[in-house]
This record gives sequence, C-alpha cells and structure tokens, in this order.
Amino acid sequence: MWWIALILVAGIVTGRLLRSQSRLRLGADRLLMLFIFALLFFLGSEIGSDPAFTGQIKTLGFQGALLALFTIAGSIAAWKIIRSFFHEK
Amino acid sequence: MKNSLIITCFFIGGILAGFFHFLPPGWIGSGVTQWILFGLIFLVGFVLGADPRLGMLVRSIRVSVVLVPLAVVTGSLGGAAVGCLLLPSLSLPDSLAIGAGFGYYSLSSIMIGELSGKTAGAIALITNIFREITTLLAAPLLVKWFGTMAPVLSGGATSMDTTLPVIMKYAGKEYLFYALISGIILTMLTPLLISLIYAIF
Repeated sequence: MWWIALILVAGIVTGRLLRSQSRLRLGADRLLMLFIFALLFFLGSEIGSDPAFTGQIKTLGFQGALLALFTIAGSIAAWKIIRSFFHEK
Repeated sequence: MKNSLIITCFFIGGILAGFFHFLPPGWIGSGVTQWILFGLIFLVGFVLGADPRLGMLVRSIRVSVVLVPLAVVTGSLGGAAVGCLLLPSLSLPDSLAIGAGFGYYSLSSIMIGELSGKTAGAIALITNIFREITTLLAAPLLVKWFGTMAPVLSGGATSMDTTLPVIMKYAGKEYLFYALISGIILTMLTPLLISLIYAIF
C-alpha cells in the first residue's frame, strides 16, 4: 500500500516540477498508453493460457456488467442522499 | 471510446496469444509485470502532476465540489458490496477493489490482476470498461432519468477525460468543472483505494 502511495506521490511531484516541459508531458502520456497496452496484453495472455479460466469467460462478462450497473446505480443513489443533506442543487 | 476499443483488442490479443501458446513460456506470470506496474503508477502520477488543471483543482477545492467524488466513492463501493451478495463466486475485497476502479479500467485491472488474481483482474477490466461505455452511450438517458449530475457520477474517474465531451454535451458546460475535479480526485484515489482494500482484508 505505502509503496504504491509513495510511487504515486513521487510521480505527481516530478510531474509538477517538470510541468513546463510540454514535450516531456506528451512523451509520458504516450509511454503511459504503451505500458497499459503491454500490461493488458500480458494479463490477457495469462488468462488465455489458463484452461480453468477460458471456460468461464461468459460468466465473467456477466459479472462485470452486473458490477458496473451496481456501481453506477450506487453512485447516483449516494449523490441523492448526500445532496439531501447538504441541499446541493 | 477509441482507446477502450484498442485496449480491448490488446487484451483479447493477449488471451488468444496465451490460448494458442504464441508466447515463450518464461514470458507468462513473471515478476516483470510488477515492476512495469510500479512504472505505470509513477507515470499516472507524473501525467496528473504535469496537468495544468491540477493547480486549478488545489485552488478551487470547496466542500460542495468534493461531495461529487465522495458520492462516487461511497456509492461505487456500496454498489459493489451489494453486487457481491448476488455473485457468490466473487470475494468482498475483490468486489470492492473492482468498484474502486471508478471506470479507470486500465490501471484497476492491472493492479487487481497483480494484487489478487487474474480472474478478478479480468472482471475489473470488463466492469470498468462497461462503466465508461455505459456513460458514453447512455449519458442523455442518465440526464433524463436521474438529473444532470448523473453522467458525472456514472463516469467516475473517466469524467476528467474520455467521458468529458458527453458530460459537456448532455449535462451542460456548468458541469465541466465538477467533472474535471471529480475525475482528477477519483483518478488519484483509484490506486490508493485498491491497495488499501487489499491491505485491510
């Protein structure tokens, strides 16, 4: 936990200090996408190479869709409750 | 939308590569991914820190603005906990961590895949892509049924970038500020909350 927080804060501070270097920012943005593509490819390859997993892709899709709807509904419900406390518009 | 399609293609490409054994055996399940994850979190921080909007965020924090991300955090975690009751195969920490993705599918799926397991990581990817796509496609309906703040709440962490255009179009320009602040706060909270959830449980 603390490692991740520390790395995140280190990143934010470095980014803030170097924020005038717009080329660096653009480069970091692109590098970020490359990292994400690579990691998701590897996550996929771990899943694909595991026979216990490939049999249940449909189930996972259903679980994912259900959780998405619950998190959206929960967020909207929480807003209605919080808003009624603070009389926000 | 384009990025989520590209990401889905990479993910499916990875599944196929693993399924048909296209990759050398040493590539799969090595500790390298953890180091790439650290690099990824650093880059997420860097991009946030270098974003000129971060200064605006710090200067403009008021209670009313923080209420939106607060609703997304409590509501998403609450919703995920209820969803977990209906999905007995999913553990509570996994369910909460998936909910704490707030639509930030790339980082949340990678972190959960690393901290918990690949099944939970895959559900995190599907859930959070679904959350983003629902916001993009259903924004006008969300506004009609649940009010103008609904697409900001539904978009979660994505309301600072990918879903920002639809929020502006269907909720109105005055919600741009809420969307940006909420998105930036949630983007920072995603890695922290996911690791916190697994540290507690």
